[in-house]
Amino acid sequence: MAVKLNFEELKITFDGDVTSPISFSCEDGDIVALILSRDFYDKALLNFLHFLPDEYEGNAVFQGKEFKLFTQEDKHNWQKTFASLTMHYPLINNLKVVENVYLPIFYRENAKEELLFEKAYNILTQLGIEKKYNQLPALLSNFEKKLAIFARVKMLEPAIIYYGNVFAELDEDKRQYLSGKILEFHAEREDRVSIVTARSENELKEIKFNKIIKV
Amino acid sequence: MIRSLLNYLFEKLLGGTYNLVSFLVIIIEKFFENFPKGYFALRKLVLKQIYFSGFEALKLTFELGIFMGIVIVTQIASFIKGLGGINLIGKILVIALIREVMPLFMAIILIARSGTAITSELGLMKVNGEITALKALGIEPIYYVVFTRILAFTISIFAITMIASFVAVTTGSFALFMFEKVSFADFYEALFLNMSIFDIVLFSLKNIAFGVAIPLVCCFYGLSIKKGVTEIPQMSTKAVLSSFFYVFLLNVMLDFLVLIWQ
Repeated sequence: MAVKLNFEELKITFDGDVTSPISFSCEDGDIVALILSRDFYDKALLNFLHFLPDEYEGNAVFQGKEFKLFTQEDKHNWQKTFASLTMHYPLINNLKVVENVYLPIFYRENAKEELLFEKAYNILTQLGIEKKYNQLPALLSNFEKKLAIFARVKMLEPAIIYYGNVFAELDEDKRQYLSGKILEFHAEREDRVSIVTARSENELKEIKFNKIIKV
Repeated sequence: MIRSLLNYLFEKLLGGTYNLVSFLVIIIEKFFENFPKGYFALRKLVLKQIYFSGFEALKLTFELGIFMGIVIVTQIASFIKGLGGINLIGKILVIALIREVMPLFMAIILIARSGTAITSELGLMKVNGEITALKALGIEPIYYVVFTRILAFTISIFAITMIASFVAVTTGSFALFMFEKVSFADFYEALFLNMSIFDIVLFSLKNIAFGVAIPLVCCFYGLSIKKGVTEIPQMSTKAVLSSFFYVFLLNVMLDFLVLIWQ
């Protein structure tokens, strides 16, 4: 599936505030950095990309179709295409880590739990947190929570991923580790688009981006 | 001043009930919009909730059933000894214990035990952003979190009230045998002869009504939390008090309904 995302002078209204104009475009295989000056822009973009509200100015186009004109089927397809790794949408605290990882697919596809468990466990192993599979999220460190949310994203196999300020408060070792995993996942699909946000370019020095946009 | 006080009470009572009924309508709408999506995920969650609300309450159910059985049956027996004999005991047991006391009593126990837990859990989920996270993952929170709790709670309250009633009646029969020398055969004959379809219908209706009302109220207050964790204890208290109110209100309404029907 070819992926093309294009934002032109996009101003999003969220929580009583409006973002500055955001303009960028993504082709298949792009890895894009968004340097966002405020946490509000992250939340607004996440809310926009997940819930597709009509309250925005400018243009937001996916595969040639304006977001405002999406039909129910388009919205459904978009939901299958897009996923995010952000602490704004955390793990569910009364589910174990492995249950959190396969919950969206378990719900969406009514698949057999045993098969999903195996796949989820393998993903947790790839990320190095398989020993925490049976624990509740409250017992994980912040970095482990990020990795568990990443496992949840990987389980969904999306074409467009939004990494919302994931390098914040991480030391260099953890930043390098996470960057490596992001690049590995990005390379798994030729048409995959990765959008990585941060407060400064300094946080993103481990990754080589096609585009760097400042908002 | 009286007028404004009456207005205030009217608004509080009707406004609160209107909100809850609207919430119930939304839950039903979301159910029909989404079912059978996530059937296996929901089934797992319902079974988990039945375990917490029902199975884990079994020990308490048995203990309360035993105490209620001994106390109520022996007190009734000592009060009406000689007035109507064993037949009257059977009639009063059906009305007092099975129709009235057990459903109401178990509802109160479950409000205290599970109602506060539901409100706190959903409140924390709201404050932590987990409800929004579920939406972002394409999972409808009302369908996944609220509907499952209502279904599980209804099944649990029905089951444990039946168990409590059975235990109460059984221990009551033993107590009567020991203290009043009433045979088991006479006791159970009197009990079943005095039990009609109305009693079974009323027992069932009460358990279903309480099973829907209690988690509905508790989920409503849990999801109403906006500011932060400090609101959680306040909302838990409101949920418990509201649940008591609606359980007693429904109890009276259903009694009247069956009375008219009879």
